[in-house]
Amino acid sequence: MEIVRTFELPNTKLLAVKFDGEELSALEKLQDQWRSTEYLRKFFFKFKNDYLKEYGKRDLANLVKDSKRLADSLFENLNELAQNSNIDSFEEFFKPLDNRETKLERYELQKLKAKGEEWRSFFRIYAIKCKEGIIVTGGAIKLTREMRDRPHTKSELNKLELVRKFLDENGPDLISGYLDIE
Amino acid sequence: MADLSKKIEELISNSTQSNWKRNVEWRRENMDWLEKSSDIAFRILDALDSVGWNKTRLAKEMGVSRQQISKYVKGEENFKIETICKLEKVLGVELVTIVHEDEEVVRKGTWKYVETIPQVANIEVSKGGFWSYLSKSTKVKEFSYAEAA
Repeated sequence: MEIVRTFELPNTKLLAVKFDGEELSALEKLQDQWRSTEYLRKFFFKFKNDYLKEYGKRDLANLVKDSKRLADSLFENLNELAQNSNIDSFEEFFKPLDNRETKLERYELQKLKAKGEEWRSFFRIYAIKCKEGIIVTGGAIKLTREMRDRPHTKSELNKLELVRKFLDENGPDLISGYLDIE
Repeated sequence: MADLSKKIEELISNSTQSNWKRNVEWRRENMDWLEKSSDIAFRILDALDSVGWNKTRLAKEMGVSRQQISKYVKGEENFKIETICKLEKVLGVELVTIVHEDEEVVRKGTWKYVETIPQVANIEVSKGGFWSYLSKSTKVKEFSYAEAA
């Protein structure tokens, strides 16, 4: 596993993991998927019942179009906040993954999530907090209440735990250790 | 925790910079045509479903690589008019329409309205009398329509 920066040094506020065997970092991968018409069309077709249950009936073409706008807006906010000197507004963009934790409670290796500003946005970016900044581990389109309800969101939970353990348990000599994701 | 900090610092010092920021800026600068390109991509995907082709078959019909078709359907291709015309011919659909001055775009759809019908109902009460009251029943009707977009 590698850590990839999003900005020029010394800005290390927004970092992302790059898993072994992957060409893109976790953040670039989300960008690649959420700006793809083919990916979004296929995704919403596959999970149309989840969408219908949560948001009601919607024309697929308009849903894909609006989703791209939502994703762009989410990334724009993240980009702006990560370059802003106000660290608080950037950190507030990410909330604790565990809803039982208070919004502003922060500690090392805490699991975090960020979502679009639009009402009931389904885009999620998952990350881990460290002193140097936020390390993005992945993200998902979440249409169900619990992450464990669907394989693609459940695997994001696994990734968060995998990265947290990698950072927490291995010594510096294991930095190039291999991490496999199912 | 000191070990953790040291480890993360070391990971960062060996890190490279991703293209994420550049991509965010690129999409912002090219938003106008990217939205149109995405609409075209969606129509290509619909057309592929209609004719029952996959991307490999379309690539063969178009005489381009499968990777090129993947770029078309991602919705970030800056299409040449020549390419659009060829795609329209091969797939048998219209991807881009130019509306002339004496024409207008019509949006098709359905709308519903709820009709509330008051009804008089009688309830028998004791001592042989009746109370009358108004109850409301609803009826949902659906109509097709076409309106100027």
